[in-house]
Amino acid sequence: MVHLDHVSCILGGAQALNNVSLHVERGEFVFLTGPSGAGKTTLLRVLYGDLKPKSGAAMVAGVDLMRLRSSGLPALRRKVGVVFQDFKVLPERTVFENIAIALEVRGVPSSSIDRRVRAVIRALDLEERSYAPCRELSGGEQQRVAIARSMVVNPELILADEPTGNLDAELSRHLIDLFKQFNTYGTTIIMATHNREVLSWAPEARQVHLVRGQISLPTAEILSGAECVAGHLSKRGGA
Amino acid sequence: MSTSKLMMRGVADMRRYPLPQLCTLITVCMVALLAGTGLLILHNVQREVLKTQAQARFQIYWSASSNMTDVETQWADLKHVPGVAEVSTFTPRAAMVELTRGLSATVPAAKAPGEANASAPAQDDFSWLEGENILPPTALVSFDIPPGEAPEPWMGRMYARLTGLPGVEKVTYNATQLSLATGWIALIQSAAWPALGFFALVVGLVVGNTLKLMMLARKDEVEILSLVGAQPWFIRAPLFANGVVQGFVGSVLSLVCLKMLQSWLRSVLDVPPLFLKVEYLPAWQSFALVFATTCVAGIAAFIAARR
Repeated sequence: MVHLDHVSCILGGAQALNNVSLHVERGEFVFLTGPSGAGKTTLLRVLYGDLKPKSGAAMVAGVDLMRLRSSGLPALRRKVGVVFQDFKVLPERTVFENIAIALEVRGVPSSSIDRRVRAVIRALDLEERSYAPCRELSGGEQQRVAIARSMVVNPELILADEPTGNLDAELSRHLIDLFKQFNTYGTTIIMATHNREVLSWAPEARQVHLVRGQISLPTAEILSGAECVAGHLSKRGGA
Repeated sequence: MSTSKLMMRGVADMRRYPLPQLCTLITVCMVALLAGTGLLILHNVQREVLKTQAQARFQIYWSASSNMTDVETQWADLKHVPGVAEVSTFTPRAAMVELTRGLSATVPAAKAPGEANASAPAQDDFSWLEGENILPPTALVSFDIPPGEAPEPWMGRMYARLTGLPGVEKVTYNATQLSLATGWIALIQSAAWPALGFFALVVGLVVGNTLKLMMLARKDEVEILSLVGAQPWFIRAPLFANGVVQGFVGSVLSLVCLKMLQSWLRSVLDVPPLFLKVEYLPAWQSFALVFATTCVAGIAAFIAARR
């Protein structure tokens, strides 16, 4: 699903990613960990085509990022769902409209849009707020709307950038359960987080640690189950 | 989703951003009003010049001893010469009345009886000229110079024709005035296109930049649409529709404001001694203003969304 080989990226004149190699198979759940400024968000931006790598080789969902032109960006974005810490929902539009927008841009017929959006709204327990403007929703509800918007199109890959950053522990836990649930359906998930608690809620997930734009092994300080992770990495061939 | 549906959605979505939309609308309206005012001035100056000075005027003097019956026959014939706009004729008697009226207005009023020299005739009493046929019959003939004709050669030919009329002693014409008017018209006409171009540029820049600022209010929407894989036309079509509506409504409003301005100017300027009748823009110029502003706004919105 994701194949990065010796990818480097410069952002604002600084080396944001340095010789990063990462391979993620279809159906995997991967945590990107590391301190603030380590390059987690930059890596995710590369993966959804927002930043072009300076060097290396990069393929995401069959799209060659090194040859990606702006005209090819919509095709990549239709395979890759993105969830952000700040939700990125349209506050004046209703929950239904926010979710439906992802299907509308794909030209899905309105009858099908209605059915699929309702199904996702039900799955994410947002039925009662279907026609409420998103500005009236709590942070947790807005994040669920953002996830619903990503999920409703059945993406091959979901990239989540600190999705629990603005949520309390209980909501964060619920959110991780949701991601795990979608992962069991076969969706590949790559989630950036620096929250140790979040990592412990999905111990089966692979962890990739970034420090100063480079991938390194997770330290015992960061992860309580370092050995388990090391074993997991060796089983999958390492990052 | 079809492009027309997308554009309708773009128009419907305008209500979601009332303040930026209102500010943009006011700006578009004001800039179009500025352009419209420029057009109004150009139109009225050209109209005034054409009306008052762009005609060839010949003052024809017959001999004072001419037979009035023959002269009146020539006057009747003159009215049927091609291009004649107006013929004003003066018989010697009518000319005398005009002369005495003119002199009465300029010569100081006669002194009251009892004052010094009271026995002398009053200075505004021209009755002593009665029966003295001192003024010749005259005619002031105005011509519209035929289209395509150079004024000076045409006037030369007409001068020769008029001086050849029987009994005509002298013909004068407004060559300098006409040259001046022709020069003014040429200047206005040559200035019109650069001025219109300048207005179009100003409208384009101001409307374009204002719309770009307005697009900042919809930045999140554009970003989210891009994130979920929207094709460029899906993002741009509603914004283009938004720009077109802004341009159209703004320019129509500017025409309403321009009408109010023209009415006010007319009430202020159409009084003695100015008597300047400020007319509204011709229909084609009004349509052109609306069309140009709408196009510029639509294109600006399209480009802003592209960036």
